[in-house]
Amino acid sequence: MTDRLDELLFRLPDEALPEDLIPRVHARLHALRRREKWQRIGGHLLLALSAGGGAWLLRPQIGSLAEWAPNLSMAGLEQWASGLVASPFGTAVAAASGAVGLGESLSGALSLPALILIGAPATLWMIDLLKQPAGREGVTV
Amino acid sequence: MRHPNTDEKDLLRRAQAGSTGAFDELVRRLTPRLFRIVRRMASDAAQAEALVQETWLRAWRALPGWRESGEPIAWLATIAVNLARDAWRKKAPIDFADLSEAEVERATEAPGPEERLEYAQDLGRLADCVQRLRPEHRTVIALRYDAGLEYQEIARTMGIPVNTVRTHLRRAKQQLLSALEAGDDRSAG
Repeated sequence: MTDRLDELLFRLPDEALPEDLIPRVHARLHALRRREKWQRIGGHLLLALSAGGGAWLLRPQIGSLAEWAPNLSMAGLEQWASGLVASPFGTAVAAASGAVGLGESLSGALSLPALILIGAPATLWMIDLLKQPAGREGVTV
Repeated sequence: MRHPNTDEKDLLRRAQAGSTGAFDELVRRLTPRLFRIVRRMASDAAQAEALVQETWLRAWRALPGWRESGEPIAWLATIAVNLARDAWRKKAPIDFADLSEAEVERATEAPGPEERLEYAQDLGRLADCVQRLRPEHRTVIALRYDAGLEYQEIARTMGIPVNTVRTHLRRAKQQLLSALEAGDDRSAG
């Protein structure tokens, strides 16, 4: 009887697929993708505004930054990028504390907030870039 | 009953790499099977349709986390089962399905008219019995017989041990057998 039950269970009648179900799924997916796209654009715009605001606040400190800039090296950036992949949170915290150190070395009350306004979006952009698989958007079959 | 389909995995890989077209094609290919599985678990057709739509939306969001270890349909079934559980938590489980006579008759291949009728009646009775099972038993039946998943895959999909899958399935089948036999006794009497 169990064998017969198995056979019957494999042949249980099922309802016909509603004709418009697949088009409805496609429509909802398109709406979701559109929403995601606008959210991404909005997020990038916010980050760009933040970075722009930070740069504007740092204008008087350009001279000090020019002195600090030669400390940057390609090897250091590569090390930082690989650290970001291995431990995004830890690297972001280290970057923030580095920004605090740089802010303290710069004169002017607005230097530190300005560096945060630039550093935070830069870190978020970098994390976003590393998380996205190649060609996540805009690829068609 | 298994339909190993490397094309579907390939589509999912391409969707993961960013191809919206590949994902839409996957929707076209797998929705009929997904609907069959979900319809067995859901309380009515409207709930099943809503679950299928929500499953695809969640699948799209979860796409970056998909790993190639299992069949795409098993991955979708996992999402659908979790959604169905959420729905069951919110309200008491209700009846499974109201199947039309035509669908019951369609599933029969028995030789003679009497046997065909008996077979169709058994299928109809069995469908009624399945609709009265507990939600987790219905889910195991849907994943085993509608999705064609192995015990290991059912366990992964439902997030329970394989032995629990066996237990659910055994109990479900015992209940179905009892119900069918009780029906036979009534018809004989």
